[in-house]
Amino acid sequence: MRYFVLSFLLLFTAFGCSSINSQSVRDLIHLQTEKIDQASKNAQTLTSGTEEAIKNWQKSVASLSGALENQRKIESVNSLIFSANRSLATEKGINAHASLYMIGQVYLKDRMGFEQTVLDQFDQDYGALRTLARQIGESWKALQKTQQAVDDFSQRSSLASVDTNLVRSLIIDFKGDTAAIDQVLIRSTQVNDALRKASGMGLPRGNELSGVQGLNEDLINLLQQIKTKSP
Amino acid sequence: MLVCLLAFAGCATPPPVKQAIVDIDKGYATNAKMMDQYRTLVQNVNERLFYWNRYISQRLLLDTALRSMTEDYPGNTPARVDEKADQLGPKLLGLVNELRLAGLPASKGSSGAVIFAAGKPDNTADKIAQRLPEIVNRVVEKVDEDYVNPAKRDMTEFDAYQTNVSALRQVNGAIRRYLEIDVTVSPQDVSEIADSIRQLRR
Repeated sequence: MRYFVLSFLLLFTAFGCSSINSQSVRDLIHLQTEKIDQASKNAQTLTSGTEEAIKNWQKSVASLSGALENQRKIESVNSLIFSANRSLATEKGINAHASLYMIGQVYLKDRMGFEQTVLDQFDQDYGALRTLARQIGESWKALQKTQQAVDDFSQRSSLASVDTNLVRSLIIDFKGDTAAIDQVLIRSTQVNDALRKASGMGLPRGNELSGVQGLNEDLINLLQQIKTKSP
Repeated sequence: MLVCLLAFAGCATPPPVKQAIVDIDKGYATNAKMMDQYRTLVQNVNERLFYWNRYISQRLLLDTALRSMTEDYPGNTPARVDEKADQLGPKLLGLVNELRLAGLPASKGSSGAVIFAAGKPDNTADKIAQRLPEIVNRVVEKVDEDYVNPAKRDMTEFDAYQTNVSALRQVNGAIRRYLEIDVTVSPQDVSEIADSIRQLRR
């Protein structure tokens, strides 16, 4: 009886189990393979989807940049008119408009350089999105390859050897550079914060306005004096 | 006892396979992080576009408001008057009409009603300059009305993605736990297995 049990156990050891000794686990591994295959396929559309989204964003930014460019031309003319040595009190028509607009600009943030920073950040974000779309696709492909190797191995018998090829295919061949993207994200968020503040014009509302009014009058008087004294 | 151990050792999964399962989990984590970064970037670009739009609109509207106070648009047609009034909105238009420079004629819209009032005799550029903070605030208010909130893009697809990756990590975790058990058999487990075999012998 003892020899019978021993023989049975040895037989079980050698042939009775597959490399992974549970049908449920083998099913789970296979399920995971199927899901990764699907995810890998879906990830390929991320690259084209990203390009399409970038194209739409670029179109919107270009349209706004066109309006901004026209306004800059108007501002250049205003600046020239404003620099003419005349008193604000007697100005009319286009001269009054130009002078008032240039003074109004005092309330807006310093724009030179900042606007280019915003536009540059759009380009940097597009670049990071393209990199991520590519890396996500590559990540799924690498997972797919390794998972397939695990799945293939799980279907083998326990006598299957772990050869060099298997070991090689079990290694995930992907290293995403998320740290570099983190840097882009930090700057991207900072630019948005600055733009949000700039587009709020930073003017206090309500009760605080009276305080600003005084400051404002000083500022306008100063501008007037500069104009009067300029040759 | 030895036979029992041999039996289980025979079914043990090789370390490279187990390592692959662990690496797959790390791969999922990296993948999920990258998609999270992607999502944040999409949000940032949408948000920036919104503020960029607002920022430029404020400049254009300030220009329109000041121009309407100081100039009579050459070739002002009723349709153009309507268009400008619509851009300014009732509050800003009220301020424009209050401050329009002396000598400016009234402009009618397509309905025949006066939209831009004739300039009051005592209105000067100085007076407008003193009211600039109020004008700028009205400009900001109008642009705020036109652009209520950053368009919240539907992010459910990103949520679904993270849910799916999380589910895959759970499946992978279950596989890993199983594979850990088949080699790290605790002494208690060995004892229980031995007892089971003893019972089988009886």
